[in-house]
Amino acid sequence: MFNKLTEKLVIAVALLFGLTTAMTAMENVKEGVHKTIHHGCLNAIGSCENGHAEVRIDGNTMKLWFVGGGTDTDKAVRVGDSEITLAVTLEGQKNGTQKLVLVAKPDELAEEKVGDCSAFEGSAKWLKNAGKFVAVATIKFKGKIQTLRIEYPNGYDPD
Amino acid sequence: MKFRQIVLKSLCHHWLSTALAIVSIALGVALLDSVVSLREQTHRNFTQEGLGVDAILGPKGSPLQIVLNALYHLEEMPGKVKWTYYKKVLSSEVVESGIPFITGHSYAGFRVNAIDENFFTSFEYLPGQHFSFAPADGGQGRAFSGNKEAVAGHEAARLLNITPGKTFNPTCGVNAGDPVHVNDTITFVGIMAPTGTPHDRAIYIPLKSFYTLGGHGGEVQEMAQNEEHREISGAYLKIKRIRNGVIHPGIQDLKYSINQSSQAQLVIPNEVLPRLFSIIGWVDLVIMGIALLVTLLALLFLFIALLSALRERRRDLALLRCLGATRRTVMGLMLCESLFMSAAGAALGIALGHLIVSIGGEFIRAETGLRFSAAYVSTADLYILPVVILLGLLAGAVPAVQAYRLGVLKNLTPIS
Repeated sequence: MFNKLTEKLVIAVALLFGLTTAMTAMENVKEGVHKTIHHGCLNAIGSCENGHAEVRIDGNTMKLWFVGGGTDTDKAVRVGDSEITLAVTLEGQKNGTQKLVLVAKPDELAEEKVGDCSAFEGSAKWLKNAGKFVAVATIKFKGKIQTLRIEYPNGYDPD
Repeated sequence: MKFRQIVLKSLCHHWLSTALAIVSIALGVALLDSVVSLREQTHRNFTQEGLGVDAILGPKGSPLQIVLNALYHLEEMPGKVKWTYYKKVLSSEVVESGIPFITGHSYAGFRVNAIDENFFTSFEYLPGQHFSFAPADGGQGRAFSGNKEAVAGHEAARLLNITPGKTFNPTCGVNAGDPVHVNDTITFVGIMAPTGTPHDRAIYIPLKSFYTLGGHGGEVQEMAQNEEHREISGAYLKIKRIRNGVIHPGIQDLKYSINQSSQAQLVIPNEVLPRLFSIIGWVDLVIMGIALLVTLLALLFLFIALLSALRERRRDLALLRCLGATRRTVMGLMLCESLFMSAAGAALGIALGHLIVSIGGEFIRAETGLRFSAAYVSTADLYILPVVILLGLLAGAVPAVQAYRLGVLKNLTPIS
């Protein structure tokens, strides 16, 4: 009888431990989510701590903001490029990639100008019905040549 | 003799311990009630729609400092904002209007703010509430129109005996010993009707007056004419509304853009003020804890008073039993006494609590301009009476059970 009671106690403790671990893990996942200022999807550049490209599509226009890494996703990061050429692969598309040029869209209130700008915009008719896609480009971000990978609409997080 | 009469006679017989128990409960309840009421009213005062301001354009620095300076006339602005930048912000598609101001001057301990004249016509210190100079509302005179004119908030005017026609020389700074603009005599032309907000504790002069005050130097005086060089401390911004009076969601994009700039930031009071409460939250908890402890101590006193009363009255209760009182009657007697004392203590405490809020609120109003009402019904008002009565009954339960178990023969045995 004693053994059965011990067995039940062990199972109860194990279940409790499992539940606590799962809840902690869920909490961590919650904490790991970065806030997006422009209601777009965040795409890490290199790693999440390095920086992000926040992407939102309004109609047939793609808007992109370079923002900080970690908890700094509400802080703009300016880049020197005046335009960024994206190679876009739409989901289910087999005929190569589409080209989309994003041009610098300096934010006057943020005192930005072309060549020192964090916001970019580009338009294409096919964007309106794009759905899911992957876009790739090479940019100079924080002084280093890095690969920009956008996975729309879920975002890109290599970590 | 009726049961009710027995209870009253018993309470009167032990009037001193009854009165002490009631007073101690009343003091504990009064402390708890007043602390909760002042706490809730403070929260309400600091969060009431950002005191009519959707957002504040301010210099770089602490957002809390900006809110305290712009809305509560405390602290100092951490810097200045360029007029040209303010104009750019004003042209944003989500901004409806702006009221620029300059802080940093004072008179007899009250802040003197230079402000755009639209403050008196379009600013809403609470939703739908504009400043008034009408005598029917408690105001006097009119808003300023000339350069050397000023308007005083109701509380500032009351404490400094300001009436229209009186003059003053503003101090260049907000600290004791700061220089006075001796060559700039300004005349009060109006007293604002009371608003119950910190605006009652300020004095206002026209925005352009600031640039023309002597002693500020040529550069500042040039700002009166040259917009390129003009600077302000900040501006109250009204944001456009979308459906159902909801603030335009673009305010967050505007905040993001402005906050990336090197010279200004957008502060939303309703986002900043909760942070203030999270900073001082532990003080709140400690005070509440002390108040709760005092109330519990008072109830403990009730318990001791009832217990000692029972010891004194063992023979009386035994006699009552001999005269026909049942065990239940004796037990009910103790419980009713406990109920009476706790209810009377709680009721008296609530009344006393409101009196404390009334007196304390006056002191706080004189210091901060925030209005506290003694008539405010707090959460404590709703729950304290039933909770104290329940706890009082619990405190009376032990003596009541002891009275129920009282041995008649044993307690009627001759003592000597």
